[in-house]
Amino acid sequence: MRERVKTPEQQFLSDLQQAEKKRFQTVKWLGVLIALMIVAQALGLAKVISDLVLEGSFPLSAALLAGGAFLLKVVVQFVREQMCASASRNIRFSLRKRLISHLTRLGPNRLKLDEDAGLSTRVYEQVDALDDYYSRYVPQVFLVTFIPLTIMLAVLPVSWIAFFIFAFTAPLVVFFMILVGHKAASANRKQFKVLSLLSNQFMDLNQGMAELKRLGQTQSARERLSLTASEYQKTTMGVLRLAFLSTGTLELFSSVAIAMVALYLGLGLLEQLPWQTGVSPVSLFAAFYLLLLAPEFYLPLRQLGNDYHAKQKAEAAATDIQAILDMALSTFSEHEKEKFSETTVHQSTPIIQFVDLHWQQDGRTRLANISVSIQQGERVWLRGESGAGKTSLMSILLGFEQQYQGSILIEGTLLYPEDIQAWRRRLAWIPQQPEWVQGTIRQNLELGLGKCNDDDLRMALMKAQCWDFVGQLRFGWDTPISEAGTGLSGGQMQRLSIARALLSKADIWLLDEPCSGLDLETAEQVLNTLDEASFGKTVLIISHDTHPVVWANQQWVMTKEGVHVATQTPISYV
Amino acid sequence: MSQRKPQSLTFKSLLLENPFGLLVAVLVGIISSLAAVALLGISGWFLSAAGLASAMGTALVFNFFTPGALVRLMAILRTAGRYGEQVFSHDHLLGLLRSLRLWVWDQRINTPQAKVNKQTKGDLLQRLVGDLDQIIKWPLAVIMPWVYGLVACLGLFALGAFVSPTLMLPITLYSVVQLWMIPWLANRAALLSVYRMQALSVHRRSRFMSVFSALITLTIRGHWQHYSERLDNLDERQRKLQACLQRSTSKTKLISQLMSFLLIGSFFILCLEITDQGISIQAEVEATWLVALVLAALGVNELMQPISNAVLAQGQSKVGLKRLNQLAISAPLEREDDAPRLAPFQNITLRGFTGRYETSPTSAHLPKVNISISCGGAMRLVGASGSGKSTCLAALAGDINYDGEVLLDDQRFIQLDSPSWRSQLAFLSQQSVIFQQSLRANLCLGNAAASDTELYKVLHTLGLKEWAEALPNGLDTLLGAQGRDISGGQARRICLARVLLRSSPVLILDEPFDGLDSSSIERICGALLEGPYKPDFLIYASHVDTALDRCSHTVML
Repeated sequence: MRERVKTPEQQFLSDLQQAEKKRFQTVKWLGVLIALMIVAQALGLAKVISDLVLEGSFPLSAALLAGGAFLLKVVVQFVREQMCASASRNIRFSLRKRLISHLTRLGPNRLKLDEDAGLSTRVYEQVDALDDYYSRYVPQVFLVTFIPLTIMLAVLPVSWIAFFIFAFTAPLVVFFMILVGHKAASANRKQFKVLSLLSNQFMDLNQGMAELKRLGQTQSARERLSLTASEYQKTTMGVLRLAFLSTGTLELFSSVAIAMVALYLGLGLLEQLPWQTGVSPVSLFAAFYLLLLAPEFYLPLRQLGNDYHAKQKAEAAATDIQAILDMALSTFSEHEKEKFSETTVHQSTPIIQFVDLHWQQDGRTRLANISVSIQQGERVWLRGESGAGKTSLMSILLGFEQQYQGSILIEGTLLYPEDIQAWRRRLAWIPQQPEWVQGTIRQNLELGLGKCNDDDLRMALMKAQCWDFVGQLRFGWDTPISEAGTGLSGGQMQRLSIARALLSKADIWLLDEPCSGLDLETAEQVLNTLDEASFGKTVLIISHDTHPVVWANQQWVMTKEGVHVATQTPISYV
Repeated sequence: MSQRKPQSLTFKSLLLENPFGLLVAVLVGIISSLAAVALLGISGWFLSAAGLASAMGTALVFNFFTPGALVRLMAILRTAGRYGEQVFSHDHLLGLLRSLRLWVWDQRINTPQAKVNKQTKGDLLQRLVGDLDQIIKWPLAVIMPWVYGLVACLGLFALGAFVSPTLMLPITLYSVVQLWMIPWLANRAALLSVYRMQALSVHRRSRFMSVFSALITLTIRGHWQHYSERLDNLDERQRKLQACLQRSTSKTKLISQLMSFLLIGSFFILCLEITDQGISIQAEVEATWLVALVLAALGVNELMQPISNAVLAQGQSKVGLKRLNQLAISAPLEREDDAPRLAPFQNITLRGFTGRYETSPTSAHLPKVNISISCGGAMRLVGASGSGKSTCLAALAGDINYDGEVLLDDQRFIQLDSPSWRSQLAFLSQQSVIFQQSLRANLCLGNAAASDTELYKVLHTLGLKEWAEALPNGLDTLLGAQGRDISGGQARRICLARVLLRSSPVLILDEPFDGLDSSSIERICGALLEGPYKPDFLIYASHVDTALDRCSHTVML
């Protein structure tokens, strides 16, 4: 086949295919075997039929040839199917592994792509959407050229007219397939978008179902769902009509071609051909041989027409999968490394020091130039208007964003990517919405720590002032918290996350608006708990002005221009 | 569109969902399949008869027009029929998808509010995407191939009977084996794996959701590896099951092909006899028709192939139905639009009232509330954090279960989790809910008929007017899911705006002034005190002292 410019999706798909090159090679050879068996079967069967009809006798050897070829073909097909399926499995499951590990490294940035629900659809459904492509389309691509060629060669010694009918119609079939198929491809992509939109919409409405009920709007939400579903039905039918039209065209062409062959044969047998009346150009044996081969000639093409849909589906899925893999993991820029390789260690080396740290992304300033430092055991209140880059700074500190400019020194040493693991282990992270998994309170506190002993757990719960309400629960710390954490108030949940931070023994605490979801009174109490629990730790806490962190030693006021440091006298109860 | 679906789903209800659409698809499909088999049979007969005629020298009188025309007709029927079948059946399938999605929604809506969170997000999504997909393909992947197979076998039987009555037995046997025995056996062999696989994908997805929702915590603790390994393990098990299922499907196909081989072999055996000159055809059997039969049998063989896949599909949709039915609720609650109107009342009294979460037994320690409020009155709940203010308000609004008594005008009222009660009240809960819709649509959930002027007015009261006007598309700006791109304070105010727009007799507010500046608070209090919308009953919890308190009773919890 001629070299075409491949779209990124096609390149992506064929790169994946390379991993299973050997298997696909074997599949090819099996295809060759199948093609030969098809010819042998037609040969045997044609002989059997013509002898039966003309002489009333049954040629046993020809029957054995046909039967043997049929059986061998069936067995080879079985083996081939198994191999294709296993190649497809290998490709898909290793791709899925790659996706999950990539998503992991993207960290919070993954949410720029999609919600977790949408990502799970990509990782599971979309990857499985590649199955038909690898298990059916790819192997078929080879057969679609090989089988017709074999048949044409097999036909040539019997009838050159049949040979030419085949030779002329095949390109036409391909031409029409491509013509209709291209349109279908773009429509198909649109359809995939609508499908994920449909799920997201359902989940969005489901999430807010309580609110909808309160507002008496469940019926209108139902109508919205119904409307989008009907919309989906309409667009999908548009796609499918096109796709079926492409297979329909193929079927029509192959039918017409077969009819042409049959007509030629029939007239030939009856000696009625306009250009040679009275002479039969073909014997009955040859006629049946041709008739049996004619459908087989078009079968791979028709099959490919059916599986073409699989290709479009795979390409559409590949777009979404690639979007995940293309989302660059931010890594250190090389030149910055050397600049600060020799930093003199001062007497009182700050635990974290930002030197000319700033972050530009796509021409947008995510973080203005800052040069500040935190000493061991210092607690810093980071405040400022939204959009000033507070959360970006957190993201950088957590190691999920490394394409910043300038540098971060940890105890006087530059933070290298290879040190990020060790650095992260020193951190405790308390965001606005604490991260909970399905499981018991205990499992959630121990999340990522391994089994902790009961004393440590009790200490952490007491220090975070969770002991009272956890003790009141029927199963204590073995009570399950569901995803949403129902049953416990926001303040209680946030306290549990403080307990989690305490349990981890991390010495640096990063907190991103831990109180913003709480009412003022609860927020104050949580902040007091934090004061007690985080004493002696190095703390960087983002908090809105409505929730002042009075126990902090420093205030960093962040603006779009940079950061202004103000010391404050901590009012601490500890 | 608003027609309710039966409470639980069965295969029968799937068939009856849109019987006409399905029937058209099946009929067109039958025509197409028969035409495909007939095409092979007729052309086989035509060619052999033509060959025979030519050999016997009767070629000139042989009528080749009728069979020739028949061959062409069959070719066209086959092509057009296949196209029509695919279009009709997929249209039917998508219609099914729509009504099943709505069915799920109805079940969710009718689930009592207190139990609604039993399903995790991952689980629900799996049911919505995975299971629905399995179910909707049931007619297309199971019913249709089987019907075509049956019809084709009947056709073959008729042809066989015509050629030689002795052939009726093998064809009957073949049909029984292909249509009943093989599916039954394959079903037995594969069903368990199908169940396991389905259960595993649910497990896998909820694990994915759960683990990814704690991604940062796990990553910074360096233990992500361990958790993602478990995810990989699940995937590995899935892969093994998939391999096992694919093998059994291929095996079924293999056996089915062998059956066709045996069938054709039996044709020859039964129609041939051994004579001195070797093997020859029996005198009473016409060779041309035997040829037609053999070719038709080859055509039927092709039609049988999809039945092997049907076994898998059958198992999957069975599991899918079962799982979807787990969402079904036994007794429907009253519906929003035909809920009985609650007679106007002048007084609400609570006796020994506490809220109760299904999942947590802590409510036993919450205080019992005894209050009474009459029309035009206001009541403020105060108390330390965790004293049960929110729980009490949520229970009163019907979000969670309650203990104690509720009296409206001294009449006992029981069903708080009902549309008729909800139609009377507006409730601002602690969690702000923002829908992935435009700002206008989010606000209009409170009052669908609100004009722009009204919307801007309420936004002004809440101090959001400047912000809304500065948005790129004004009121039509799309808000992200769960209010991801607006601040918590803004989300809160939008929810409050929604509640105020509702203008309902009973207004319940849980910390409405949280995160609001004093001028906004003043404006809100002014609006609530002076109208135009003035709730008959105002119950709120607030830790901030406001102008509202002057006209309201304070209840200490």
